[in-house]
Amino acid sequence: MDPLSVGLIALPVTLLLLALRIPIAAALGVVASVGIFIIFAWRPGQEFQPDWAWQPTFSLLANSPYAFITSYTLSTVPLFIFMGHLAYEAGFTTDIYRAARLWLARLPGGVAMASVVGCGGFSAITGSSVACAAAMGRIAIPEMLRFGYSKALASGSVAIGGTLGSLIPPSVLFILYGIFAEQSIAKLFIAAIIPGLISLFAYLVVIYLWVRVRPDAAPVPEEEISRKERWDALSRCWAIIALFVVVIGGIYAGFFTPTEAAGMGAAATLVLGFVLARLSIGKLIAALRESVYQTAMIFAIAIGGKLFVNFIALTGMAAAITGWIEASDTSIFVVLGLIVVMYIFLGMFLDPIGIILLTLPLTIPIVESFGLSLIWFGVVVVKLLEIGLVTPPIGLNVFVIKSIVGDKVRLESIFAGVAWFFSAEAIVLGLILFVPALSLWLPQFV
Amino acid sequence: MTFLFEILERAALWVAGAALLVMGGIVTVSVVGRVAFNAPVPDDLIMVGLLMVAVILLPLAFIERTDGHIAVTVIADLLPVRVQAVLRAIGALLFAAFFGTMGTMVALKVPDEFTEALYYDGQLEVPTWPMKAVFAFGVALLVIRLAVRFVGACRSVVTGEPITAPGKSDPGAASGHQG
Repeated sequence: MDPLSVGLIALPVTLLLLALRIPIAAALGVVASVGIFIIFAWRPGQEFQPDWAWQPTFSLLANSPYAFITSYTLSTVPLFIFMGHLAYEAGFTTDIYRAARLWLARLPGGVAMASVVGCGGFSAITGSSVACAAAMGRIAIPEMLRFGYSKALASGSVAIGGTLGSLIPPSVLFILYGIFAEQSIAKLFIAAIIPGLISLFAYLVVIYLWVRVRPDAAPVPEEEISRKERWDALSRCWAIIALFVVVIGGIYAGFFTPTEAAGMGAAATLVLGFVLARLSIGKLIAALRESVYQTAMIFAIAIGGKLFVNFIALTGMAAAITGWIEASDTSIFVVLGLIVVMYIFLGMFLDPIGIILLTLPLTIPIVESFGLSLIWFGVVVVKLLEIGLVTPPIGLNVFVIKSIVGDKVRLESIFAGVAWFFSAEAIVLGLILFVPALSLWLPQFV
Repeated sequence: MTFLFEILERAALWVAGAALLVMGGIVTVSVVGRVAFNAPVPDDLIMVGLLMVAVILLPLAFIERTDGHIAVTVIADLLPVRVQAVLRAIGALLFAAFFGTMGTMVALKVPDEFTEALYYDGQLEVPTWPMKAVFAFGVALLVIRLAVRFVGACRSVVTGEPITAPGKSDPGAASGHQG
């Protein structure tokens, strides 16, 4: 059996295993291991010879995942996750939301806007969308419901705002993309800044229009806010701004590599937290526990994904698909359209890290064959993955919000709230796709 | 016995947390040392990379205990409890087979690397075997937890009662997602 056939059989088998609730890490790892074994044992034009396969398969299992996880660059992921959890435990997240709320409260849908701005601010120091949605959801949704906001607006705005967590740097998804696509993580971080801000602005516009159309969705809070209160709240945000400047400014100015920036950012958050008496040993332990839990969960999938990447490389599928596209003279727009549809479809069912590891071995060579920038493509992929976080039936952010609000808001209401933002997502995605300068202008200065 | 194993799982989680703290410390001290004294921590890249093994592998059993490993449940949730239990049993088996094989392969290297005193090239000559042993230990904990899961799933197939994750209410089980 030729390797390409093995690969073509393996893909639907992987999807079947995933559908049957096999953990993603196991599905990717088992299919890759068995596939690699078959490729070595059943060489083209030969009989099936298992003896040829045991040694190279076991050797790959012994070496590839271990070498992968001991990568210095990958340590960026747990360090950024740790920084985000520390910032949450220290209450820096609340500061940003409070300031945004006091400044935006009088605008139509001002508290919902504040929650989106709060998500944007928290995104600047955390790398995870779901962490962002969870943190802001606990703070903002109860308050919006108390002010009489519609359940769909209150929950939908935080679910969509949370997606900024992976788009605005730092971002776990960009780190993994950078490693698997062999692209500069620093450039990816910088490339995402403008698309991230455009997304944030688009969400604010949607909230504004929503409340213009249905004013009863967001009553203006009846509270007097003095100018002093506003400025006091804003002044409390200096810590989070300082952390962003240290991390992203340090990378942009070339002082730090992303890994060093993650370490320095975590250390700075820890020091600030203790100096400002906003962290305790208990909170530090909670942040550590959450961080290693989340890190290990991500890397369990990444280990399976790493072997899957090795397997796909052995099958020669990427070269075959690229060759087929070139031979059929397919338009670049058709190919990009198919890639977009594929990511949106997978995003409905799979988690972002699973999708990234499953698809990159195939999509990267295709995009490269058209001479397109892989930095730009990284931004496109992460934006698509973020859309997948809020699309039914499996929208991780939506489920996180549901777990926070409990019985107060129905799942359907959250999805209905998020649906208001889909048109904005389509426009922003179109802008990122067709105006690559939005992603590529800033990285040229790194 | 179960109690002892749960203590081991929790201890492994704490060690992973300590490893993360040390990792952050090494990166920070190295940057400060480089900038201020032109003297980064020797072998910092090697040590940080190796600590990743503890951060990633040691919490895996605890995550499994709290049902935290990510799986697609959209179709499975619609199936009868007994079918779900069969799928969970198969999932536990495959998970254990994959990680168990990988862990065994890594563990088999430890005795030779220990007796030959192999080390990474660098100023500190950091030995290669300890983190491979940690890797094997983390996988061993996970495989034991998966065996418990498998037995629970088989029991569920027989009784028709839903599977429960013993540690689902634990702090740390709540965060469990990325993206």
